[in-house]
Amino acid sequence: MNHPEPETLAAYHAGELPAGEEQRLQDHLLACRECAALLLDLDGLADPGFGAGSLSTADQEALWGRIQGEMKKEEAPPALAPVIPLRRPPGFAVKPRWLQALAAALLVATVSLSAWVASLRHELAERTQPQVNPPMYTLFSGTARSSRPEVSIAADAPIFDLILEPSRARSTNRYRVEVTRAGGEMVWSRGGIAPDPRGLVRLELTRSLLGPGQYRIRLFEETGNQREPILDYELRVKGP
Amino acid sequence: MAEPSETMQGLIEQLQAASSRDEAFRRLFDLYSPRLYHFFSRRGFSHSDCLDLTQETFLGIYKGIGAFRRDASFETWLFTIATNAYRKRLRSGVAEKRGAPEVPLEGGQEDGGPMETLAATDVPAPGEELLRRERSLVLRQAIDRLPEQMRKCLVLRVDHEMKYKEIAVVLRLSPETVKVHLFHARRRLREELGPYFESSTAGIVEGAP
Repeated sequence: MNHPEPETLAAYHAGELPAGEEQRLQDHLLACRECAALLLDLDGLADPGFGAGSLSTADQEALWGRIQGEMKKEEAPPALAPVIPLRRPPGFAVKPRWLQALAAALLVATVSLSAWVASLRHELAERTQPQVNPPMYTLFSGTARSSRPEVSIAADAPIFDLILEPSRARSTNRYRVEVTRAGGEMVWSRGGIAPDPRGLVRLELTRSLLGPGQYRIRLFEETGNQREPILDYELRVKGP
Repeated sequence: MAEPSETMQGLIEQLQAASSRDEAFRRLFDLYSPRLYHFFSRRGFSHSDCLDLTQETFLGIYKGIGAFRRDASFETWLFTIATNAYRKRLRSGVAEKRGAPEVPLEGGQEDGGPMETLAATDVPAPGEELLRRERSLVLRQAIDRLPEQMRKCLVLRVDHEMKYKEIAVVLRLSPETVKVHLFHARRRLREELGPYFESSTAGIVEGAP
C-alpha cells in the first residue's frame, strides 16, 4: 500500500486538498489504520496534553544533553587536515660533498658519452644511407684535354663517380685501374672492369678513400694474365 | 493550539535570530519532546528508538529552522520531520522490534469492538460459528448500503474503534455531525436487520464520545 506523504496528510488535515484528492485520501484512511492514526497524532501534536508524562524528567534531561552535544558538533568548524611536517625518514643522512661532486661528474660524463654515441650513429647512418644521383667527374687523357684535371669533391657527397675516357677505342673488354698517391703509395686498385657501351670506364669511389691531395690514376688493358698500361691521369682532390 | 500563537511566533523568531537561540531551543525542547516521544511510542518503537528518533527530529528542527516560514504551522512542520524520520528508520531496518500495538487508541467497553465481534455471543456454542459469520456478512452488507458519510463514520467506529472526536478528525467533520451520523446509522440498521442485531449494534454506535 502506498502511504501518502506527511505533507499530503497535513494538507488534508488543513483542508487544503482538492475535492477529488481529498476523497481518495479519505478512502485510504478508512482502509489504513496506520495513516488514520498518523492523522490523529498530527492533531495531537498541537495539544500540550499529548504524551504528557510519557517521558521521565531524567530521560528528558539525558536526551537534552545528547542533543546539545550534537548541536556543538554541528556548530564546530570543520576540522582541517593535519599538517605533516616535512621530515627525513629515520636513518637518512646527508651525503658528503665529494660524493655529490662525483655523482655530478658521472652525470656529465654520461650525458657527454650519450651525445658522442648519438653523433657516431648519425655519421654512420649518413654513410650507409644510399645516395641518390652521386656527382660524376669525367677525366680525359692528360695529353688530349688537360694535363692536370682537378676535381673538387663536394663535402656532402660521400660517394662519387669517376669516368675515365680512353683516348681511343680499344679491342679489349677488360680494364684495370690503380690509384696511387704522389709518393707512389697504392690507395686503391681493381681489375676486370668492363667498359660501358660507349667504351668509358666508370668507377664508383668514396670520399673517405680519396681525401684531399694529389693522385695518379693509371689505366691498364687486361688480356688474360697480361696487362698493358695505356693511360695516366693526374687528379687533384680539393679539401672538403 | 495550546500555546498562544504570539508565544510560538516569538519562540520561532528567537530561534531564527542569532541571539538567545540556545535558550529558545531549550524551551521548544521542553514543550515538544514529550509529545514527540509519545508520537514515536504510538508507532510501536522501543524506548531507545523513541529517544533516538526524538533526538533526530530536534536536530532536524535545529538545522532547518532558518528556512521555516513563520506563517506556517509549526506542528505541521514538526509532524513532517518526525514522520519522515520514523519512516526512514523503518526502511533502514535498524529499529528494534515493534512491541506496542500499531494503533493503541484509547478505548474501553463503551467503544465497542471490531466488526467480527459485533454479531458474536460471548462464547460460540458448537454449530453457532456458521451463524455468527452469517450475521457478520449480513451486517457488512447492510453497512455498505448506508449513505457515504454515515458509512464512513460507522466503519471508523467499528473497524478502527475510534471515538467520535477521532472520527471527526479523520473525516474532517464536527463531533456533533459524527454523533448524528452514527445515530441514524444505528436506526437504519435496526430497521433493516430487526431486533436480531439490536443488542450488538447498540453497543457500537452508542459508544463514548
